[in-house]
Amino acid sequence: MITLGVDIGSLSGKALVLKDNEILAWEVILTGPDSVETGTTVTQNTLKKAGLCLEDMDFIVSTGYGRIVIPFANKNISEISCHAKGAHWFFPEARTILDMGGQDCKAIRCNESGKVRDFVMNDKCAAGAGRSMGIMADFVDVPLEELGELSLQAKNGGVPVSSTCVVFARSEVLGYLRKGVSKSDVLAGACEALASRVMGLLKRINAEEGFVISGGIAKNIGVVTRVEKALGMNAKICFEPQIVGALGAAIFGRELLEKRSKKRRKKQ
Amino acid sequence: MITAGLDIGSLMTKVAVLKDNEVIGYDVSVTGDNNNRAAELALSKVLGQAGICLEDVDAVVVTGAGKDEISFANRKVTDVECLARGAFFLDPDMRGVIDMGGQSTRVLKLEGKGLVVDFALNDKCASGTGIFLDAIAKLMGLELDEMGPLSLESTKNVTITSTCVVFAESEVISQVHRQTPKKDILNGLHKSIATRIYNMFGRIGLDGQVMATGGLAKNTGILACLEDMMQTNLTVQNNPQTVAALGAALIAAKTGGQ
Repeated sequence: MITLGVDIGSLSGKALVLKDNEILAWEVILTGPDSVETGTTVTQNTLKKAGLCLEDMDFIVSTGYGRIVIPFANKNISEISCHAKGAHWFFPEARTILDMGGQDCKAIRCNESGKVRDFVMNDKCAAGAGRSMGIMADFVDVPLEELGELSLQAKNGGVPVSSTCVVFARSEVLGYLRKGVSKSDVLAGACEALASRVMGLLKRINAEEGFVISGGIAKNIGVVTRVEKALGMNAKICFEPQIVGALGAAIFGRELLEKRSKKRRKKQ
Repeated sequence: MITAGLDIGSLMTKVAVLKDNEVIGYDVSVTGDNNNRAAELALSKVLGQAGICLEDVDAVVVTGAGKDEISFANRKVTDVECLARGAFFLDPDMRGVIDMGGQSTRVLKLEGKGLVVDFALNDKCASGTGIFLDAIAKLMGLELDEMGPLSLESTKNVTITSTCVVFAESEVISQVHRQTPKKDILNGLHKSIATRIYNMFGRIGLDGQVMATGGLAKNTGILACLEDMMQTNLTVQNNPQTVAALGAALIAAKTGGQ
């Protein structure tokens, strides 16, 4: 059984091909202004990698902010459910999932089967989303991939940076840089600010052990380290944290098909 | 008696100098990175223009975000108190003040002789503050004081759905790419800011005459949107940014800086 999961986020589009229980191929690309185009491109790229075409897919599930508009999807499922499902596939002990993408952040509690029990989400404020890191990286003129590492080099824990608003934080950072504060100190403050926003969400859902981080933020060691410290739990992160949603979508596709064929067998 | 009031805002520093209850000088300048320096420069500029030196000033009261760093002030007072005092002095009929600053917004309810009976404050979120306009002005390549008048020329409704300035910036960029006329985008933007401010009134329950102060009170677009939502006219003084500084100077006169 071959299924395809497509996750269209605000900053990146992801697709993943699952054959039975094995990941055949996946891809992450930047989301353009058109969700359909992004979905089509990332799907085509992924299928090419797998040496397959769309007709080979037994079922296609879309998820993410742009899920409704994907024309070739058989079904769309919320990213909350897909992230829980995907995280659980990687880590069956997953009970608390933190997923942070470009424009939102979710804290999810799931049960032993990867089913969602509770969740909270911020999708209104950039200060609690990955976007804040992108802005800081641009401002301080450091590649996003290096931001986290640099933040850990701060000598004294960094300088205080607003955790309630990226726009205010931006002004503060400008002031700091003008006064000669080091980049690592400033970035430490920015990561600390984001970590404290994350902790707000995690506290609200009563985070429990079995802590998984997915989404782009999982690649930021500066934020991950600080959240682990504040939470008192180590985070499990899979080899490519941005594909967790697409994986979950593909798994849902497989499960739906299995249910249908079970029903048919019962009828016969 | 000569007193000075300093309002050290996150973006702008405002000064008002009073001589025997009459304003003899005021100034608005950029705060920059050093609050104390900004205060010193602004005050000496105004005093210089009035032909007075610092020794002649009987008391200096400071307010605003940067008030704790001003070494030469006799006393620090909250901006809420200073706003109420300044607004009441300018017009004793005022029963409310909407102060729309660079990085914060306050709504005050006044009773009696300018007594603050309730207030709401937003200083945590850029939405509904001047910095939102500033960010979009830069994005669209416009001067800040063009924004309001241009927004009033709008002929089409454009809605900016995000409350967050960062997300709204992306929406504005998409609108610009779609070649939506700037005046219509600005109209949507001004409505968004005014809505955020108006939503602060909720539990306060303003009624009677209301004064608009702060930098955004100079923006005709914001004023028009607010007046439309409130179904009433707002009172706006000349130099609406200096009302809190004026209030500080008045408090200095009353208390002698004690």
